[in-house]
Amino acid sequence: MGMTTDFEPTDRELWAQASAGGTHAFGRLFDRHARAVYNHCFRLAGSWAAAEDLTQATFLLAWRKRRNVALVNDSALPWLLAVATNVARSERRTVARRLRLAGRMSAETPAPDHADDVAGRVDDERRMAEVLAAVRALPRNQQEALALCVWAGVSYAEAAAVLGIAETSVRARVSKARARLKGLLGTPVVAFATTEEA
Amino acid sequence: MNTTLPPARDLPPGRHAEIRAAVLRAATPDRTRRWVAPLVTATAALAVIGAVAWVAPWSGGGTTQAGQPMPTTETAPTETPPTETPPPTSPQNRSPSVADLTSEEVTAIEQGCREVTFPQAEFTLLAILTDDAGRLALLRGTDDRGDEYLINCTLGFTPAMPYNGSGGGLDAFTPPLSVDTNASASAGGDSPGNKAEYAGMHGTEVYAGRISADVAKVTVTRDDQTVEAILAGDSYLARIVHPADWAIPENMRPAIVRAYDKNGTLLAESGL
Repeated sequence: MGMTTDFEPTDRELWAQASAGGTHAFGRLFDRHARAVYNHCFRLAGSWAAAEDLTQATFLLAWRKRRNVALVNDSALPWLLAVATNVARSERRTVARRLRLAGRMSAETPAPDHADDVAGRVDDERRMAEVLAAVRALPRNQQEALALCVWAGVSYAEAAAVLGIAETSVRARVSKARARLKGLLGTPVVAFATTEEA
Repeated sequence: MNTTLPPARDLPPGRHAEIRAAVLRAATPDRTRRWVAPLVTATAALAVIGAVAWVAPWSGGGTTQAGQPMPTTETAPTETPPTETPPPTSPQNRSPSVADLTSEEVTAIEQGCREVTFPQAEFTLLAILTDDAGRLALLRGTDDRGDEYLINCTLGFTPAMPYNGSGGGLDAFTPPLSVDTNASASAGGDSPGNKAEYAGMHGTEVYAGRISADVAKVTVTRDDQTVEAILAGDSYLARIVHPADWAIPENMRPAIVRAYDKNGTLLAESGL
């Protein structure tokens, strides 16, 4: 993890500028957090292509709701991940959207400019589909707590703040999710270190 | 089975820039204040009392209040047991304001309000707000695609128009407070240009939206006037009533919507 300098504005500073209409500041926030949001969306959707769409939708919604941001320890990331979670849930509800995504998933072809990456991404999606098949047997709130706290590395306190629930509730949801997944999969779902994304 | 999650990846080459550009295009200053005129509301309001109804998104913002606290979602959340809440359209979410209605009356309101707003959706009546301007119903609905709607609907507006609805589809919810109908305003019946038959009707501003489970109270404040919203499950509805000669001001800013927990702690406010 690199050192921060006095010249690097915090999320709070950037968000204040963005709230005042500063699109440049919002662009910097995008650059800072797009990767983490993109990977969070992939783990929710199981498709890299869908994750691209969800990432865009997340930042569009975040811009529109920018005056409602909940910064946690000066970071916008937990809130952005919560927004992404809601966006992904919303998208899943829409039948037409699901069908379109399914079409895209089946029609995905290697793009010339990242062909070397395609095999890995296809393998990612296969592995993620196996995990999600079990995860989707969980209650929705447990799925979301698992994705936020275990996969995206958001702390229980941060998740509680952005979800608007008690920290003990977040802990309970994650604990139940872990226990049930272990029963379903026969092995724990490996936590994924995401400090590199933040 | 390999349950190790795939490694984190960057956006594909070019896509980071494309998505960034698309987001910033949407965030350009001339779009920070988006006017969304709900077809039904605009048509009905213009036809009935010469009112202009508009719904501004969060980005419309409100007057900055010097010294007002920032949203306090950063404060330690209160202890809330992890309870499973019924779906928003469940009758379990109805407020006591609906309790005195017969099932026939409830059905009539749900059907009447649906027909003047979004006929493709099925709605559940959640609350009825009663004030000096009359009765205003709050309904949540879902269509067969799974899209959700939140509408408010004036009951008994005129004999010719027993239901006069407004509202729209719902975006993803961002806790703890979402103002989905933000200043849906109608001029008073005595304002210039209105028909004589609407004389005496109050001007109004309607606010409605969604809240998280820890929100116990929602208020709407414009200048020195504060009204408390009626809550129904994860939805709320509030209306500021103006005199009959009230005209919608040019460049009207939405009022401030605030959400509090059961201890009176401010959790969030719109229009910062």
